[in-house]
Amino acid sequence: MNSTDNILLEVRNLRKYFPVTSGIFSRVISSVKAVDNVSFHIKPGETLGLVGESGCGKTTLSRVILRLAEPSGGEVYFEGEDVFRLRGDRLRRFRKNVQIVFQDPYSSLNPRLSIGSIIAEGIGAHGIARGGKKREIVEGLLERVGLSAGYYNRYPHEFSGGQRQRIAIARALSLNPKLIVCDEPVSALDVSIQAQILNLLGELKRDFNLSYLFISHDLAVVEHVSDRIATMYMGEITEIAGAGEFYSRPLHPYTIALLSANLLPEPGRKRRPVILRGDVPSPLDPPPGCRFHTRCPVAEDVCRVKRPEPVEVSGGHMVRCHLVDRKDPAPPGFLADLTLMLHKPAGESGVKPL
Amino acid sequence: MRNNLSTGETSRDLPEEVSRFAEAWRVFKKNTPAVWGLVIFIAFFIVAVAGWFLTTGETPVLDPAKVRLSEKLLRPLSPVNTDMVEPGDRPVFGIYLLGTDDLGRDVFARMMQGAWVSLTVGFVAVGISVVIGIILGGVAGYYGRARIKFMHVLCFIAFFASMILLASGRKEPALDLFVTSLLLATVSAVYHYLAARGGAGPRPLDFLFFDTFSVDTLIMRFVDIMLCFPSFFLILTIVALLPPNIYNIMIVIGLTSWMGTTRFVRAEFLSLREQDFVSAAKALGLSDISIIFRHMMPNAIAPVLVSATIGIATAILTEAGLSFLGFGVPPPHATWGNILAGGERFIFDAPWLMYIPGFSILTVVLSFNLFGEGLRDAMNPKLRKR
Repeated sequence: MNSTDNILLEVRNLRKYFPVTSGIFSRVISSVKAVDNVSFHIKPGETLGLVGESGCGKTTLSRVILRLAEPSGGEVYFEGEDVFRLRGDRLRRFRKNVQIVFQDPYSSLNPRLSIGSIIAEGIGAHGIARGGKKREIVEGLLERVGLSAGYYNRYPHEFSGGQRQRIAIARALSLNPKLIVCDEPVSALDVSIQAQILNLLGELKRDFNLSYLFISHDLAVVEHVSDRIATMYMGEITEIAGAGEFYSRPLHPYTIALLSANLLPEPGRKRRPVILRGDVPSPLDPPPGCRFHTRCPVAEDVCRVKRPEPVEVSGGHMVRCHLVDRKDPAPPGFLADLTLMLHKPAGESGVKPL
Repeated sequence: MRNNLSTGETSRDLPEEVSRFAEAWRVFKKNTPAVWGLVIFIAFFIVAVAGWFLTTGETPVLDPAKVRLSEKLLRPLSPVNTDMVEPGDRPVFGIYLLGTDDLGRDVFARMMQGAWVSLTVGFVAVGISVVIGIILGGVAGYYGRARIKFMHVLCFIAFFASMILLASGRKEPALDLFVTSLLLATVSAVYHYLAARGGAGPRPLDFLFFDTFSVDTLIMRFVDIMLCFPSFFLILTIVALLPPNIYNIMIVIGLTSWMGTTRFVRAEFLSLREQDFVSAAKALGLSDISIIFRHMMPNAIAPVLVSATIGIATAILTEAGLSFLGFGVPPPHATWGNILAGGERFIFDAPWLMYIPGFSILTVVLSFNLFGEGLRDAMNPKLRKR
């Protein structure tokens, strides 16, 4: 990280291992490395997209950053403060500044509370406002996320998935946070509703000067919203790059495979996808060397033995791959071949406005 | 500056508000046996309350304890013999609605008094068991993963040993142990205060604060132990030690029937704790108390209420069984169980003495069970229309 000044969230070597126990004495026999040495940062006003397939540790990562789960190691700094050591008032201030929007809008709202009290809860708990003023704020938030203020006394089961996600967004906004972690906020929604929610998130980012950690498994969605994009595979960040560079000059074979599998928006146009063989290895027994080598189309001997370290190929573009040489700015030959398979015009968006 | 896309979806109005209660009632009233259960439940409630008013006081309207030796074992609906019974001792309307027993006591009056006993035993015992069950189950479900430190185990062992010694009358060793437990508690408090203040790294006395078993293990294994005893015999043992009165019976039944509720609440809490809305509440910075009582308890309470309804039926049965065996409410006070027990000797001469309390218990217990099952179906969101 070159520019350490003015960083909102910094994650350093974050680890989260889930112990696997056995027997009546709960002996720890091994662990699932859900998040393993993850490092990245988010600047104010920036959206970092985080892409990866199911089970790669995206959600665990977000939960650990929010202190909803205990880390196994590493540090998270929010505005320079070590998040894992916060207590009392400073923890409350952190809670106020960092909020989350969950994937499933059906389980993220308490079915027994009216949406007014769901959104008002944080405002009351942090003593921001009470009584009529609180209601005024909540009604303002409801209208801001595109719902009617008259829905104050309605219950979550009366709303559709998209509307519920708006309510969840209003709840996240209620504390006027600086960072919102969006944990696959549109994956559970119809495509047309996805576009509405993404546009809403974009507007809110401008109006409230928000930063997002935007987690998704859909590259098209991430491309639409992100300033920088990271890919994650088996608990590790494999590549981080600015959005433009990520799509125009991907370097990690996994990124290239992901991009090649992404559908192009024009009917009839097709890519030759880089087909990955096999399944993701069991996280209980991760492969030695590079985590990706079992499925990598260009893996070499060194990949099977030695864990690659992240290398910075150009400003802010980090890759965790043995085959990428930092001294050579052009992609190596094999990567060029893979990249050629992505007949992708630069700058074209996956989600087009309807 | 909002475009059409972000608001387009909400332009249509929502359907009429339907409350959860109305929705549950719609499902419930389709279930005929459950509705009958509810009707009998309400009728029983009215009878029991009326029974309490009519059979207490200086000169009760229905006197369940009045002995009329000339009027033994009369059939139901027999008129009173006006020659033998003084006007003040006669039943209302001059008729024994449900006959008399071997001492010439009015069975109707005794049944009314017994109804109140059954009702209060049912509700108080279940109330006690539900409160214990919710607290223990809630703690096991929410804080279950926390591990108890060795020092705390020592502290509690010392405390309980001192209480047991105190109860058995040996005051001096009890006092010693009590002081020891206080000392250990102080040491733990200082240790945790320093741990909270200071950073990481080893501290003195760390060797006394290693993790032992979890809170969940402690509570749930205690539940298993309690379930190992056949509860009726457990109750019999305790009742044999305690002076027999109606309050002790209620408390004892309550203290031996909370295990099911504990398991229920724990299971509900375990699943609710992983729900996103609980995570969201934590992310909002709400306190544990507010998360437990605002977010988890209201969602966990429905199955508890259902099992409580069925628990009332079980408690009524247990009380009747205890009274039948002579361990229940002591004799001058009538309960359905001891009316049944008294009638047993006259099964051929006066069968109504068995049939009346027997069928009453059957009806009430059955109605509670049917009502409880109907309630469970009505609370089941899968049966609701979306």
